[in-house]
Amino acid sequence: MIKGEKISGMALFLWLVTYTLGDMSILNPAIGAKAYQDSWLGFILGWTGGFILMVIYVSIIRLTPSKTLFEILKDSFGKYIGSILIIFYIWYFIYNGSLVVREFGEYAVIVNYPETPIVFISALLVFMAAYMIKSGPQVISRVYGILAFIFIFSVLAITMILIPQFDFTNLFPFLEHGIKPVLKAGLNTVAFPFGELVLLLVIASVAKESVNIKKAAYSAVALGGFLIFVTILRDIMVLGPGLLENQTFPAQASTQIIPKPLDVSPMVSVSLLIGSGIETTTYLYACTLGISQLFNLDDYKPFVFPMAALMVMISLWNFTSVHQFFGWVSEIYPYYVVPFQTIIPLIILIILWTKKKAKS
Amino acid sequence: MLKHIQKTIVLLVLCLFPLVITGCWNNVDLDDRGFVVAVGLDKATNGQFDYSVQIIKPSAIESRKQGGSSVATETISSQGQTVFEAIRNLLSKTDKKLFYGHIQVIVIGEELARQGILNVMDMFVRNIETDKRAHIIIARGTTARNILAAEGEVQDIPAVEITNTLENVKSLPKIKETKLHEVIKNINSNGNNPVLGVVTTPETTEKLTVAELDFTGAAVFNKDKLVGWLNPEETTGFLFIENKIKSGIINVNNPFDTRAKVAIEIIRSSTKKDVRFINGEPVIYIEVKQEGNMVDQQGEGDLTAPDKIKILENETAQVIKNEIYHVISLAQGEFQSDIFGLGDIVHKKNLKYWREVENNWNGEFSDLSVEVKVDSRIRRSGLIKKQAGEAR
Repeated sequence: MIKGEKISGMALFLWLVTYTLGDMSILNPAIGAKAYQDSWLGFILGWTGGFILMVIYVSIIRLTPSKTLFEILKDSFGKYIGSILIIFYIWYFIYNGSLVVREFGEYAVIVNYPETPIVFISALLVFMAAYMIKSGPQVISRVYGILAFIFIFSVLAITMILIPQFDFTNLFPFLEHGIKPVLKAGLNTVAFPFGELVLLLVIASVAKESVNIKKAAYSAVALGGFLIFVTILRDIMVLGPGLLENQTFPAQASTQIIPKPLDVSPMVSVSLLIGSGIETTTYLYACTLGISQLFNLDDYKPFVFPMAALMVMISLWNFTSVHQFFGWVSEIYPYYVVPFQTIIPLIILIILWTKKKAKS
Repeated sequence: MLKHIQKTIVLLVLCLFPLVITGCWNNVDLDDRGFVVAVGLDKATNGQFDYSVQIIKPSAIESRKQGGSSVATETISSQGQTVFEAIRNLLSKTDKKLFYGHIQVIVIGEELARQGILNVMDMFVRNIETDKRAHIIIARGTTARNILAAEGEVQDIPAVEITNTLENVKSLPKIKETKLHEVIKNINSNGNNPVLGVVTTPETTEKLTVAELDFTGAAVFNKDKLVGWLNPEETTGFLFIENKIKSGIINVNNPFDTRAKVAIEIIRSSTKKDVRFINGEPVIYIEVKQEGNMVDQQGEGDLTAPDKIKILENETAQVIKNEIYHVISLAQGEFQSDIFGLGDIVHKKNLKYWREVENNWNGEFSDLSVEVKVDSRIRRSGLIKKQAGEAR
């Protein structure tokens, strides 16, 4: 279905790593679930869950090579139910994209540009993404193949600079608030960022036939998860559990503690720009591709700009305040995404298996 | 034809780009900015806050360089029920847009500090513009506004002179310097209370200068309320416990002549503080390892002999021990405030016990027994062996 040159395994890997890290460089799903110093444990649980989800996605791809999620849906559920599910997925992608855009906008308005209207910031991000998608997935993978290194470097550099501020005793006492908040943190982590990798089902079809998708996907979950794990441990050790839970943006707060004259908080903004950029781009790409395949069209490009505009609008209309936004993301979002990230892929896998058995 | 139109449109759009990418949305020229370098907070009589800022006057700095004597900064103040209201009220007294990114020091008046500092500090932590690494000091027996009005002598900007003096704590452990983020961390914790730096003014002066201000000593807090003061020697003891000693001088008696003193310069010091549970009872345990050089000798005698060095070492250890015991007994008795973060250590070590005492930790802390160990070493004694001028 997708025309043009296909991308290599390395490019797919870098795309997935950057996408997994995404906005995790400023906001952590495991933090904010009231697990305090045990957030890292919750993250590890979620990380494990992420690997399990990845097993499902990779198995689906191995059974249906070089097909997108939308084609798989049509094949396994039939024309009508399949189309309805495609519409659901298009909604899921554009809505998730709007969440990322909103988060980036809120960060920029709170931290970088207090007097700039949020619509201006969101629109710039989304239209940059739209422009990139117009040029095709190859361009996206090339751009983020380069930016991925800047991203990873800035995350690691901030951590290195903060090493003198580490206080290992901040990790104790272990399980002070019981296991329940830790499990909640784990659930949040599964939904965000690892469950978001359901997008692999869409972008894997861009990769060359010879690419070992299994290898690229698992190593991306491993490296991306490791980097997020490092930022979680860093923020707990630098800020301490109490201060950490009180921060809107923990990573940004950590950088402000670095002694004078060094000021690396712009690096946090840069990494967020790259992370939010790739998430927005990928979601926008997925939903425009979904629309074109829903109607069996050859080209997805005419939908890029209208969907981009819609994404900006949804991001602005959806929440009246930043508190509502964060409340929704931490309380409802982890449950809302379960059908899209776990249930439907699982059903697809079961259908594919039974079909395969019936054939043989 | 169509291509021409397309090209023209692209060209026009390109021409529009420079307008957008030249600068920020809310661009303010440097001339219109007022750089706030110091902030002072006091309690006003009507239950409001009295808020003063020190602003740099760039033109005055230029004229000072050319030999003029005009003051490089100006201090203006306003009042408000909240800090932010006071900040906005300030705009009626200046033509500049105030910028807080280069804030060096936050001074809080004694009266306000006794009432609690959290309400006035919230804004500085919440706001993105303020530097979280600004120093915080308490103006003892005076108002913050008076301190800000002090003129700089060495530096053009008094606030810079104040921070430079505070950073001398590296060599003079009688000063306590605390940064904004450190205070917030301490108040945030249940088992720790902040200790802030102090500034005092001389008794009588017409025109105050920064050189006349005294920065030694420290202010002791319980949660966010000021409860007492440490004098310079007690501050040294406190810094020993906190492992913040970088250098410093300890005077001990000359073993040959008890009226004469010998000065030991601390070159290295590290402290382990801990709470140990002995038979279920917590005991404060402090262990200091200190190294020093003998740098100054009064009175006669060869102090380089091993047994004499041993005496000096023991005496040094005793002096440090006494200082530590003294400051702990002050915290346990007079202040009833755990300023050493021992509650945090208990919290991390023994959660079960902590849950029992959490709500009355300061009371529990006052009853703990203390064990201090000091290991003192003298490494070198400079270019000469006996006192200068002593031949035999």
